[in-house]
Amino acid sequence: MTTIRMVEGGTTMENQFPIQQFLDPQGNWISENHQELLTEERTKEFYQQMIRIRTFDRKAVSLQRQGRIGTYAAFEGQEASQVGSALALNKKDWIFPTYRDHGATMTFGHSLRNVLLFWNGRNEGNIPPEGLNIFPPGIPIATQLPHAVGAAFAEKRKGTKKAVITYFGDGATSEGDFHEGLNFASVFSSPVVFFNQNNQYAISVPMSKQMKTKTIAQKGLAYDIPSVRIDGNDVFSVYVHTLEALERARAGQGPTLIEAVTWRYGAHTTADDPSKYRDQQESTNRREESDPLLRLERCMKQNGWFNEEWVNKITNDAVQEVEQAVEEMEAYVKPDPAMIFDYVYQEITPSLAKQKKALLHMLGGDEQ
Amino acid sequence: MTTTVKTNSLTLVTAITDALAVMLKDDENVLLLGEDIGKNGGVFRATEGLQAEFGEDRVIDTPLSEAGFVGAAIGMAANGLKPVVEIQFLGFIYPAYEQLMTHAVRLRSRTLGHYSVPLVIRAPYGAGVRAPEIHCDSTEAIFTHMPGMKVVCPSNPYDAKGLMIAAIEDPDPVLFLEPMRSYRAVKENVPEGKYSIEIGKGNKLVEGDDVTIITWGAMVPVVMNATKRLRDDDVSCDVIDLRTLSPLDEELIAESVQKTGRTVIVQEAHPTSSVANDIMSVINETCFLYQKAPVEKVSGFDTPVPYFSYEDFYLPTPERVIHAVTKVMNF
Amino acid sequence: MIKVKLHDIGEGMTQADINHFFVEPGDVVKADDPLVEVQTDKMTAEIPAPTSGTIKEIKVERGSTVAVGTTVMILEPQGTFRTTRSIDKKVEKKVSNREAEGQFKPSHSPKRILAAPYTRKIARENDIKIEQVNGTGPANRITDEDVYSFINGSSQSATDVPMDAPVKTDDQASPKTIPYKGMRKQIGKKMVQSLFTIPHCTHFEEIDVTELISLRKQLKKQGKSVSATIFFMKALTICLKEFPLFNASLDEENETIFLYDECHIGLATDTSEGLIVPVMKNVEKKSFAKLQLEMKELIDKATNQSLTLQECKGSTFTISNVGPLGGSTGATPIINAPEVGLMAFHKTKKRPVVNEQDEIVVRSMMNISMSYDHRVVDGASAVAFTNRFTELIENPTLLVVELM
Repeated sequence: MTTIRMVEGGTTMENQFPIQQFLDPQGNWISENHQELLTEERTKEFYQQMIRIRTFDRKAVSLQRQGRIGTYAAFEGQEASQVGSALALNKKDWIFPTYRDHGATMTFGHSLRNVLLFWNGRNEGNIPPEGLNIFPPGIPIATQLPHAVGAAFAEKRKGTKKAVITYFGDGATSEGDFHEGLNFASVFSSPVVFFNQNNQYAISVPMSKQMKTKTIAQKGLAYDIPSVRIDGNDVFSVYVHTLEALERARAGQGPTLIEAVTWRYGAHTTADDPSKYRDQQESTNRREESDPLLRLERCMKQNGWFNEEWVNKITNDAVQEVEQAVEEMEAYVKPDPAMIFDYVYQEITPSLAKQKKALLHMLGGDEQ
Repeated sequence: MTTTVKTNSLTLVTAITDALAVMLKDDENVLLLGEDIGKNGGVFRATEGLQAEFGEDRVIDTPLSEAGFVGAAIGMAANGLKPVVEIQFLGFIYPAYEQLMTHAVRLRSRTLGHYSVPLVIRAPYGAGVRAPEIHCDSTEAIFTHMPGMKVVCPSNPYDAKGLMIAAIEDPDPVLFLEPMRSYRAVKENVPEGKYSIEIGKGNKLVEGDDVTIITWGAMVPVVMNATKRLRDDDVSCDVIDLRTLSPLDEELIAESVQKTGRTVIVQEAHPTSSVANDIMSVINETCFLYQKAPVEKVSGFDTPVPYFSYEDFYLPTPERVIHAVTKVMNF
Repeated sequence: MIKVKLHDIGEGMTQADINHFFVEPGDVVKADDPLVEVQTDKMTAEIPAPTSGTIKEIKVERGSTVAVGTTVMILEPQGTFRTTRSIDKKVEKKVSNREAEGQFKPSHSPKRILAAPYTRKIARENDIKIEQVNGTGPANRITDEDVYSFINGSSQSATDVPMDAPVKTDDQASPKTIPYKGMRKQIGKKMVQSLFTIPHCTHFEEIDVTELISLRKQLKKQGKSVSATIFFMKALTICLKEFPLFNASLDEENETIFLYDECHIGLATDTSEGLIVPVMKNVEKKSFAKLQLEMKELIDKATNQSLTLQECKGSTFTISNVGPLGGSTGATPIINAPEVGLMAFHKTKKRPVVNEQDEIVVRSMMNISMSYDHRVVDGASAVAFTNRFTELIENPTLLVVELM
């Protein structure tokens, strides 16, 4: 006799968390709700932002191959998740991204030049534009989740209506920091949105080897956190669900977990080669079937909003903006060796000051 | 009668692959664990082809959870297996710090030898390959500070293979640090099959009389470059590649420093609370009366390893080594 | 012209194979168009054009393996192309300029020198090459004393005015300065060291030397001149045999007292350069005549500053005869560390003394002061020691008998 009863795992949960979609891959509005959101203006805004960050992303990969920036983590394929969620934020909210979320931070208002500087090994790239709260990308996996929870806790304590969003991938759910972050947010009812981009691969490890569960959304259940699984390539679904989660946060209803199911077309980073561990035909197929930009093009065409001239114009604008950023990045003041010492503490310690002096002397520079 | 040993021309990283293959074949209890080590062959390709050869139950892709798989490996090791765990970059080992410090290194003493942890942790370390931040740490001293941990750091393909085999055969936990920027720097003839290099023994790379230079891992090529240039200035260096950072080869250090009376230690790590300081302590204990000049330390700085546009400022260079040698020679 | 190079695109890769070219010479390309596909042991990757332009030349062959940094092809750019980054070269150049400063000056002496850093400091401060000093310590270690002896042995002129001469103001006394350095400073250091390590205790005693004086006069009549100091030394050898703790040295660190059979008596000697202590070796074995000769020789040498290092080393007990200098009636002498005792002989004076018959008689009296290391011996032993010494000096016949 079995006394321990097992919940019928996978399928049940998969059914309990169906993928929420508003716009299908062919560009049709398939939901009964929120039809009022589908306007020409909003669709074009989404599209323009996605063109902008995709242009940036492709240029960055190219720059890396030319030796003009360092290792780069491309996000192509995940534009809808990043643009839709970032546009749902208020300018006073906080973003805690990973290294693959500069599509979101640039949409939110981060400087393109600074993002390039970051990838060119410059700390200067981590400084957000005046007035925006953008944390430097979390490099070790899932470490930014508890930070986001803490920042949200602080906003709540200050009595503001500011919310916090944090991004993370499918692999991050295996880390302790993910579970600890969710539990904290749940216990303290922090105004935070856990935005998961499930691109289905943690470098080479597919989701099936990362976890036994079929969804990530179901992990919120254990912490009593309302959770939803959405189509991460449907920018409308991303936008609407993030907006709702942020509203819950502002209303004092605590955290939300969003699982945006998506796909990265390319490598984990430029130091990686995906053909080693998966059939890249899958990426080619997905580009045709469910690309987030193509989906909006189809939608615009169906609604008669598509205009070749306009598309050329915004594409050119994006290229110009990116080229401008590259030029600024390459013309940026040269690395100053003093800088590595000057920000370790608010006030440099005597021993560090000595080390700084010794290095500057070696380099023949001015001793300050 | 002479016997000929067959050799293969290997890089440091392929020498490690070779050692892992030898041990997977040699002992069925050996198994590899880590992120992306299976089909992908590891992000540095250190386990390339091993899953195909030995199967998915011997070469295991784990979930992304350093504390999880290091902790699990401790349980496996205590229960008869010999896990070799890959940490993708040393800078990502910190979640597993608790498992190592509170369990791996003290299970033997907690149970007076009833349980032990024959575990190997492999971790690429160091800067100089323009990798993103945190991928470049050189924090070996955190681990040499752990009682019960052995810390090994080869600088060349031959040592890498011999030390890896010794590490897997060692009855205690061993942290195996792999100098990332030396992974593919040179090829060397490495014997086929099984051989090992004793843990705890350094290697004299160059014999000289004027000054002892002690270093390890990725700093060895930097020191060798400096040594060559110093020879033109008629300064003869005694160069020690430590190979093992814990336990230190005190005998080799003492023998050399007693001969030269002058020492320069070259390390990539932050200078405070570093392995160089432990070496200085050995010199103080064994060579006090022989010292002609204060020991010089060439290190990184007490700053986080900077982003790669600044890493050339941070990393010790042959110039800095020469500068330090000049200082001890002219003291 | 732009050189399109192979960069390290894979975190530590050093070379790549050229898989195939997407372009040939003469082709016009746009910025970021793929030019060549390369294969490394980590990945396959396309290298795109850094700018728009025309392919002028392909420098490597398909299928070849090229190192990072190799020029793969030459591209003639359309318009101008800016690229930055050249910090490395600049830094390198500056460093190599600095390098020129580094001239190596030390000698490559193969000799292994054992010396504590502090000892090396003393040598350095006195401009002495440590290699030239002979070590007398354990395993031939050079001790501080060896360096001091070396300094004493070499002539030193002390004419430099110290850097930090005190500033003169109107209401202050205006001293003349003499340099405190060289031998004066070494003597000072040694005194300080002795006084700070050894708990000194000094016993005073008065000795009737009338009999000794008459004995010496008698000997002189017979043509044999023996100084009083020789008698003192001989008497001391008897005392030191009977009280071996006074012919000793203490090694506190190793918790050991060394007792010596030999009586090597240090002879504190005043010279124009200061205090020097030549050593009379094996006083217990030598004849009065021999000792007399030897002493004269040593004192002459001390005066001429021609003592060798060997002649100033190894004493086990030291005496200081200040009587001939005009002498004081008492002193608290500082022990010649690491010895245990030092005896000073003061001025001899005729004084009225009450004898055993309660008569007041005129006797020649001499005071002695003996300092000893209170860690090694106690007051009672010191009293017994000086009593025995007094007995032997006051009865020179007894002394002679004891010596037979």
